[in-house]
Amino acid sequence: MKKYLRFMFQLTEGYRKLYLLQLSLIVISIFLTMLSSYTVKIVIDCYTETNGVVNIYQPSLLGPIGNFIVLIFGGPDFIMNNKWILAIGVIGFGLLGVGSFIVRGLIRGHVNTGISKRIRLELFNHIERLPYSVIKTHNNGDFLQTCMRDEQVLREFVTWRFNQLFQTLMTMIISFTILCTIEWRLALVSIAAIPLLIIYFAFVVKKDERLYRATDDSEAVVIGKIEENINSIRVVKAYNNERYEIDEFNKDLKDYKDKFKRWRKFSMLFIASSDILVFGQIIATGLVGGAFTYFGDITVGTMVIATTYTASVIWPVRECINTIIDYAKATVSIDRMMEIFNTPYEDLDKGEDFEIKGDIEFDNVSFAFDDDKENPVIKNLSFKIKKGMTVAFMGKTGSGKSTTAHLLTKLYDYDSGSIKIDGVELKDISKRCIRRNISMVLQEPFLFSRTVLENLRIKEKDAPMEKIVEATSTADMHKTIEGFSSGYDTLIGERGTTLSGGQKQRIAMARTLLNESPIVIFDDSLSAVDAETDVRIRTALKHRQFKSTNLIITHRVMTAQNADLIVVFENGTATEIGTHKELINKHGFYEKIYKIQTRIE
Amino acid sequence: MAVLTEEREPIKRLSVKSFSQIFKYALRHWPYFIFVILAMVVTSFYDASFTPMMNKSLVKALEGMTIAGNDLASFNINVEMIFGINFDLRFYEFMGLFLFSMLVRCVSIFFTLYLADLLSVQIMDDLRRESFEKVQQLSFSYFDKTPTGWILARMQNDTSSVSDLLAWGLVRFFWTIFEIFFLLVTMFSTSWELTLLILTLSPVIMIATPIFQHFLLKFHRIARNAYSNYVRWLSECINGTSTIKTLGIEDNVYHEASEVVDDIRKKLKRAMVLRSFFGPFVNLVSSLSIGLVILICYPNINNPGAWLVVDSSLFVLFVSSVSEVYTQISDFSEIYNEFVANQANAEKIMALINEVPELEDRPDVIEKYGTLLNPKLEAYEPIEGDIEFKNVSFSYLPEIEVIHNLNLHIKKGTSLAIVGETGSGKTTTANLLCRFYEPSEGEVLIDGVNYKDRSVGWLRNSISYVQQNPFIFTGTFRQNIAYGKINATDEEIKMAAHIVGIDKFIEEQKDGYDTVLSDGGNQLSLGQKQLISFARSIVRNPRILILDEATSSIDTESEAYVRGAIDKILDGRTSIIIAHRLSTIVNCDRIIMMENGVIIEDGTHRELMAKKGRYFTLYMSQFQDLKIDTQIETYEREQKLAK
Repeated sequence: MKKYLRFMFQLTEGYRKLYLLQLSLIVISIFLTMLSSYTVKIVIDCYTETNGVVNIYQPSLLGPIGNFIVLIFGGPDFIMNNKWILAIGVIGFGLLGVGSFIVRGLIRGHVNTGISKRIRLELFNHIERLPYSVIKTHNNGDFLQTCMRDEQVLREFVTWRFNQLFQTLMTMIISFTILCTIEWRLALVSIAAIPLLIIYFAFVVKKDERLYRATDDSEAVVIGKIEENINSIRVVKAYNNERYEIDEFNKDLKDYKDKFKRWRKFSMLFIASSDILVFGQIIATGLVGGAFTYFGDITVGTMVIATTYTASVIWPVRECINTIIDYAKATVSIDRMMEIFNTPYEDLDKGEDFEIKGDIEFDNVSFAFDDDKENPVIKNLSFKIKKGMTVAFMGKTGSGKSTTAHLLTKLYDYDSGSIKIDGVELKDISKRCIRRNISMVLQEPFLFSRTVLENLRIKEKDAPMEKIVEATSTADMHKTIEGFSSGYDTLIGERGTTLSGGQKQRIAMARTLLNESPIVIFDDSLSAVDAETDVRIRTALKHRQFKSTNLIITHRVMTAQNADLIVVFENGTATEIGTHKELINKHGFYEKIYKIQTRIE
Repeated sequence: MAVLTEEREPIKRLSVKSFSQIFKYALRHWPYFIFVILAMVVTSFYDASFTPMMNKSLVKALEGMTIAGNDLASFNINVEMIFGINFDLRFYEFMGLFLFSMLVRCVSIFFTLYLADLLSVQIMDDLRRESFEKVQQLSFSYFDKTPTGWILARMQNDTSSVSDLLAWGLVRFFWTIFEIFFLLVTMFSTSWELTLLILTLSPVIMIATPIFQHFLLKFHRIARNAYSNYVRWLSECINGTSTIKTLGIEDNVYHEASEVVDDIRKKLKRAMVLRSFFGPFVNLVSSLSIGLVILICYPNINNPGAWLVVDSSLFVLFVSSVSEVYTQISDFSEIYNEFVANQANAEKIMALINEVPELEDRPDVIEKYGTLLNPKLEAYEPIEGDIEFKNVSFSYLPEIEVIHNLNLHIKKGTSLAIVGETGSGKTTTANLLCRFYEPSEGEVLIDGVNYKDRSVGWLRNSISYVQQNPFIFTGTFRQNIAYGKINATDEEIKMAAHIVGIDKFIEEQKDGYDTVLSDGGNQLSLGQKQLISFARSIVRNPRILILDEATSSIDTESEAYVRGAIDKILDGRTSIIIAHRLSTIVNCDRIIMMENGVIIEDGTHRELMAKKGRYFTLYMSQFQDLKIDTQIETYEREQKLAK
């Protein structure tokens, strides 16, 4: 409980004063509304008598607030002769109330949207900066769910439900107090049903909640079935199972319908029966007030406002029950958010930051994933690369090529051994420095649903066009892009042109080349490009003016044979290191692959 | 900035035409409506006439007394009702009447709310059922041009928002009308002069509310667009985290995040600012009219000679009724706006339900073989599996022909591999064979008969088509395999699993064949999923089997046993294999190579390799694209084959 309240309190940071101001405006506008209705009572009191005396002349029947109003409007005599002043009073209180209502609405808009913006930004920022290893083990859908649904539940609770609760409470307190000042017995009657209502709710809410859950789950099945059917529609048709699908779907629909009916019947019975208490309360106040008036204890006017006040309290009380239900939902959302916030994020700036030249040295490096510490994926790996070299990594699936690249870019931290870049231990270099100086082209590149140009400029917003064309030409993509309907301004992705795997890889490659990083890693990044294009790209890379250290993870001997150095990976370690010629003469794994790939030529 | 896209759908006026069809869904359940309307009449009468009149009568009885009474039992109240009904009650009788009527209202409110809910779920049920049935009947071409997300949005969201709107919107519409009606009757029957005077302020509400609502709708729509833009942006960024990290663009992305988030904030705030004026506006008009009531009444109260006869009971009645009238009027325009706001959804869901399938059997064929959903299985002839394409041409879009004059005879029981670059027409050929599309020209003969002369169901009952990405349904292993033959026996299912070699794996699972697979079979490897899809394809013992890139996305570890399975399942059937994996096709009876919709080479693997033509080149270049593990395996396999 305390944990949750503290978390919610933290969310209001920066908006607390405004939030408080808004709460006080709530009190003010409730008070003004009450005064406005009270003035109506004074009007009635001007025309009604108790024991032969006009009520407005009987201060004991007016109550303190009534006397106050009579006083500010010039006393009973003045009012009796100028009753229009009371009309002005009602309008005046009304206007003030409206004014505070508006100001409160404006503040609320500001606070609500501000808090919501903050939650969204902080949440996103945190997720985006979580370590790679954490992101890999989480489901993207869960993150999205937290950013969207949990954020909404929580924001609604903090900015809306809580206000509502406060408003109801204040209305209750103020109206009860005012009535107490006139006739405490009537005041008690006017809130008598509230505890009953709350007890009744407490009893019923659980069952309602349970029926709702069952209905909700059943609808989720229907929704899921629709989704599954649409996604598998080609399978359904291929197997001629349309009739079967319809029958199955109708079963789901019927289940949902039955549960929905059961739930709504219960809910509505519940609402209708609680209406007995709600209306009973209002009628009781009226009748008891009527009886008091009959005996001359209060005036007709008092009876009228007692009824009005009761109605303005009892309806919101019923609404407030939902707040309690929502609190439970909010705590679940908070738990999920806290889980994200409590995972420390990467510190990009810890460590040295310098301009890297491109020397790389692995010395006895080992690494295992957290969930499988027994089986290291990299074992005693050692090799040396001089700046400007092009190095090919070859090996079977799972031999550790990609993991090596991930270690080098600090997506994972190695467990033992040493990696040195330009002679500096990698652990002492900041992530920001590494990621600026080492670029990686992934095998399955991710392009944003924007134009080609925006994708290329994702890092440097104002990269000049010549440089972009230079990069796309190197990646053998310039001509293809020009052939698109709108050239570089073609929208790609879901809502635009669909690109082939090879085209995606080449754009991603150009995007990386634009960075002019001293070290570039190609993680099997030309796998979807045909062999001829592969050759063209590698030739272009060689003739590029900007010289970088290139690490190419590949399964093509053609690609590897021109490299300055070839590293063959087996079971997490380098088993063969050397140039093409050297490795051919070793008669090992590399030679075998070479023979297979070139056997027909 | 490109991350912010502005989509402004114009707000249309309410069109009866686009709703007329959807209203029929509500009218189907007219008995509900009659009951709801009756219940609403009772409720509205209680709220807008009975209670105010009872209160008025009580106030009137009390204000008439100048000296306090001492015995409640003898307190006499003259009850005035609307339509001039008038009777005397003792205080306790009055109380009894009040409480009894309240109970009646509670009963009628129950029926109003419950029946409205029932109505809404019935309409949703109809809409979902009909759209689902329609989707089953639509042909492939519809799914080619319609994004999955669009159909899902219609069936999942629109069905529920439209049914809510129809049921609740109509109920609220009538409710408001009854409320206003009874309020006016109450007011007119007590003092028509005062009523007319007060109503002079109502045009302010009637004019201002729709204007307010119009802009509210517009601003909220803009804010909602900003939100969906944010959602799209967010999901992209979360899916692209690795790329963002490796490019080191966290700061850029954070900058974009503030921009996108700030955009929603601005747009939502605008809507909230407007809203914070709207509620108080109605209050303001209410205050003004209560002031007006006081101003009109004060010279006349208890003044028998005045032009307007007013007492405090009338005054109380008007004070409480006036703001109620205004609230109801502004509700009215809110309901109108809800209809306007949901108009587009109603149109879209109807568009889906009204869609006509492009590919249907001829009437005489339906006559003989039944429809897709109600087939006459007894009329189905057994199928042999002899396939012939005769001068077949096909185009998805007019003018762009993708298959040109294809002639191909596949003898029953033989296997044929089709290879070629992307876009060469391989999959189209297979789709034509399954009659997912029909040839634009020429004909496809199955066992010597044009397949259009028999029903779609007849053909698909005897064909199995395995796609590149195996689909796992939420359900058990058993159900997933039996999907190929709904009434398959246990033995048949186990046999199918055994043939493809996944039986051991399934039996090792916690609940064996009854182990539930969820989330698209997340707990299985791609290879295992494909094996299940193979098992599904052979459980029906099809005469024709098509594997469309069925092995291309399988990981290396699974490949070996998938390949073993393929050899077994092809045995004895007419089979067509479209493949990337060269290892799977080398021992097919026949290989054809397609390019731009034409067959350019035709022969066995050895013949084509010896020819050193296009197949040879393709084979060699594709070979190098394979993972090194696969290269080694394929090579070894080839060596074996050569021996």
